Amino acid sequence: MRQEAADDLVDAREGGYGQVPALKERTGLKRGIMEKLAEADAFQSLGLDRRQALWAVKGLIDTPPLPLFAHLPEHRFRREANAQLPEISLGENVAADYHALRLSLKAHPMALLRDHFDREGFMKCADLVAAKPDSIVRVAGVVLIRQRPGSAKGVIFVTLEDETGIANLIVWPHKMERYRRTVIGSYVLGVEGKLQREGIVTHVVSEKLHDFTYRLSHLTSGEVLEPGPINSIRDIPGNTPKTKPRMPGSRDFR
Amino acid sequence: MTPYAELQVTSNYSFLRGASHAEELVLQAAVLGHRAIAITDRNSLAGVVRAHVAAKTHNMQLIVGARLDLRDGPSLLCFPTDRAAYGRLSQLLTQGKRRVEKGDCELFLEDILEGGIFQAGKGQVLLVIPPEGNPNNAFKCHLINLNKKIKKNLYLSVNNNYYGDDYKRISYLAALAEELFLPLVAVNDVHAHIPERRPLQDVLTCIREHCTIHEAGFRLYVNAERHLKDGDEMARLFKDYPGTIENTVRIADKCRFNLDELRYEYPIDPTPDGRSPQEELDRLTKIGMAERYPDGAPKKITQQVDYEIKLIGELGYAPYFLTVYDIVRFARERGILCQGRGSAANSAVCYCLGVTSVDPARIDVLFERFVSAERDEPPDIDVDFEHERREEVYQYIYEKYGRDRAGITATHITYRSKSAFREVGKAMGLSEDSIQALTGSSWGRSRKETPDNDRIREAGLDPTDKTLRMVLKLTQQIAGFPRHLSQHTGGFVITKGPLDTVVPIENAAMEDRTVIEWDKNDLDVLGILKIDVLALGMLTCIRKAFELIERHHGTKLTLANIPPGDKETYDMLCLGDSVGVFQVESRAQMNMLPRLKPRCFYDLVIEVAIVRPGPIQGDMVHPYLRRRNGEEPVAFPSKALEDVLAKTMGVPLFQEQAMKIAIVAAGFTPNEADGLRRAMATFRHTGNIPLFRDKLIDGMVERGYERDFAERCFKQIEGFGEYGFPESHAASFALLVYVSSWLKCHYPAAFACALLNSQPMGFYAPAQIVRDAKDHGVEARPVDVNDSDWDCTLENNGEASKAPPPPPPPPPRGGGSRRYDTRFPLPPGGGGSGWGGRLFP
Repeated sequence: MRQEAADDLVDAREGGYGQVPALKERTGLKRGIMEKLAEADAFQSLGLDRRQALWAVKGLIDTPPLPLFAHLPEHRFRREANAQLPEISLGENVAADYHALRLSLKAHPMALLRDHFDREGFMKCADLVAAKPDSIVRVAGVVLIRQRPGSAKGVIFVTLEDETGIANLIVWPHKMERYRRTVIGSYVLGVEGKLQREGIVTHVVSEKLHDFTYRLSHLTSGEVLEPGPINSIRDIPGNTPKTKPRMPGSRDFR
Repeated sequence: MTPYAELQVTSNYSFLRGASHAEELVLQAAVLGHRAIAITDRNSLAGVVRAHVAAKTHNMQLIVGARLDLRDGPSLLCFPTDRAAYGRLSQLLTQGKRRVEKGDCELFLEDILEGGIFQAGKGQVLLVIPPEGNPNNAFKCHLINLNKKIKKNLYLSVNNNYYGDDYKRISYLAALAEELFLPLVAVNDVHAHIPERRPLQDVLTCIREHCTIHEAGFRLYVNAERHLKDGDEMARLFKDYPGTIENTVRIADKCRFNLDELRYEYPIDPTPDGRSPQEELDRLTKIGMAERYPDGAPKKITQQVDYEIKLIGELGYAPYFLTVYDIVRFARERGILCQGRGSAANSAVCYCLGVTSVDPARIDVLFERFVSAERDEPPDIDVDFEHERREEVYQYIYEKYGRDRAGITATHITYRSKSAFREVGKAMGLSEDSIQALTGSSWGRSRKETPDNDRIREAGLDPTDKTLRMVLKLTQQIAGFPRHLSQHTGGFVITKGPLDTVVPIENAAMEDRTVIEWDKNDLDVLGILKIDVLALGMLTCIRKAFELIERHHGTKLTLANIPPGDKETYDMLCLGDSVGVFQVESRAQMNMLPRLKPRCFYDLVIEVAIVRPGPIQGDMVHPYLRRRNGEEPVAFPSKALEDVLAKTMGVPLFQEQAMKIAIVAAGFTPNEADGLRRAMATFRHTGNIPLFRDKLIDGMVERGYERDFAERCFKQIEGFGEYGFPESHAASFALLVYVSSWLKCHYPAAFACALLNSQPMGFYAPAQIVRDAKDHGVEARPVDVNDSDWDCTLENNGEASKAPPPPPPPPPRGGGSRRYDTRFPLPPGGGGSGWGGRLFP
């Protein structure tokens, strides 16, 4: 979306927009841009959820009306029977939010996958504070940052995030050798390791790492995942649904 | 040894042609006992400064020059004999470069022959290069024409091609030269310093021609003879024409121009009322001082200012200070936030002029680090500007000085091992898959690193494979080669006279930008002043936060009026709660905060400086923390070092301290200490680091220090080389740390909003900034066609007690929407605002 379009939208706003066709009428926005807005779930104040808004926007017509029919009020949108759209699930909504905005205010993806992780004994990031030093813990989350500072002699620092907070991982070089692809390639990373605490700073020293990125697809497909041990090969090709939600990449620093 | 000077030398600054560094060529020429060596890159002077440094080191004569490739005539080697001729050569190249897009140069015979900038070769020695094959009639015509127009110092060069017809070819050229009364000069068209570089040379040709080694055919040179040969060998090759060898020495004697003659001169802005720059600086400083210290400046400051003004006057740097002042003044007038960084913060004058913002009363100023009579080198003032508006400052500078007097410093982009591997692999005919398999994993951001055998096997390739081994070997050789010129992140060179007589200027890839050919190390060597007009995202963020706070809370904030020493702010930092805060938001810093527990401004200065490669490599972090927490007594390695290390509890943390240790504890002169710092930072491959190492460590041990401490000091200096923070720089940054922390602490909503509107910047993605803001009680509201703007906005939360003015997107709408039902409580200190998400994907 371009800034000019946003300016048009703001300029023509006056008392606010009540309906999708009226918005189109007043702003003159192209349908493509309206679709982007709908995908970003920006029509909530009109009482439309993402799917309904998209439905309404898709019904709009970009071409100028034929002169003969120009006076008819309904020339701007197709006549269609009121569609009974299935209600959009939270998971779908979150996935779509990430797709459009790279963040979601509705829920954290990890919150929606929590059941699966609970079953496998993964704790929440926030609970690490209460965990015993030197105990073995499991934690999983979205990878925020990977760092390999030049002064740290090959140690990788990874920051994970779940719905409760963040967790700091340390990956020693020999673990990195073994789990290179997992560390570098995962969006959702699970780890088993020893908890280390110094003052109020808590780290997990990674022992085993597992790529859980495939679980993101359950946000959209709603499939239930069977519990299983960590390190089982689940993300074999063909097993992953095609509609993977797009996650923002982590920020990696050296 | 027969005296000889090689005059046709292509270094790797003729991108993808030369197979050796300029330094290697100069060194090899010295080893072979050449009288002199020229560097003649194609339409470029980019590599001459490096060669110049090497030549000085090895006591060689460098003949500065370039190979002029013309669109409509034979190529020429051009060697200026004096400063003025050098300026004309540089201007000619500039002219050719400004005609076309970045990286190209378009010159015609007309430019050389007619009056114009080049003055028909006045003051230059010109060598016409005959075509590779048999010289044809067209070449003869060109030669006659050149000979007619260029009255003096025109030569014809001749070399062996080893195609089997050299005898015939050379005798033809000799006859031609005789006919036209042109002297003949022997050259070897050098492309590498040693014959062993031939495989690399071939691969470079393939990369340039976009083909594989199997397809390259006649595009490769047929033999490995284009390397430096000694005088006797050259004399043997040209034994029928001994004059050609003598001529090389004759030319070397004529071309005495040395890059050291480029005396840099500051631009002098006209001052009002005919005051001298010094008087004007004095006047402006006094005015500024009155503004900075409305109740009268403390004695320490007035003394410092007087001292600085005097020293600036003695060294004649006033015009430079005025130039920087003017740029900063322009930014201020436009409302662009800016702040000086680096050693300029050591100057009370800079503070009074508004260039820097850290009150010199708050830190120990060390003006000598910034300007020193002894070092006799230009001071270095770096100023950060808001990243979104820096272009305005750029264009102001171009407009004020003109494109012939101001240009952006270049960055010489070099091959990293990964990019090198990819291109060499392609040229050697590796499949895309194999290249992908090896470059896919994370190796190779560094220069020399190549994958070891295990990694190769992991990628499914055979480490004993001959081709692959060759590729890896060549990758190592090519890593570090320059591949193209790019822009420095903000270093402007401004000169009094035309800049294009100093160095060629070319168009940048970005519109409206022009760039010189030399990088910052080159400028340093020649003592050319550069003003760093840098971009800093955090300044954009802070300005935006100030604007939001003014609009919604009615409080007008500036960098200077944020209340210092705020307890809540330091409490927050002590908890490591620093997402979004400048500098200390990285994970290492977040971990350091609760351990260091900063309680005052100077603690922040240390905080910024301590999580850097210098102190970490020097193993200084833990001793400092232990001493700070009282777990270890504060002790000094010696009485003499107590002064140097007192403020950091006996542990060296800042760059200045490491340098001072070299002086105080190892007996370095200040110049040597600075040389040490430079040796670390620039020209790392010139190889005199071990010398410094021994001198420092032995010097310290002799004076009774423990070897272990000495070694740690050296390691630290090594780490400082590239990433060290001088105290003054850390102080400038610490101020921004404090300001951004204060904003985060007291106006979390405005701060988060400003951060989001300044993306991309900092460590964290929008999702984490939003999450952190939520954790601080800010309500994040979704994007909505009825409420959102292009940028994130602050919205009034109905329960606000202070009732700030209504936010820009007015919320009047019919119907109770969900947004208004779900209100979160307000942040305690924050004033009544949540914010709407950034609209518009």
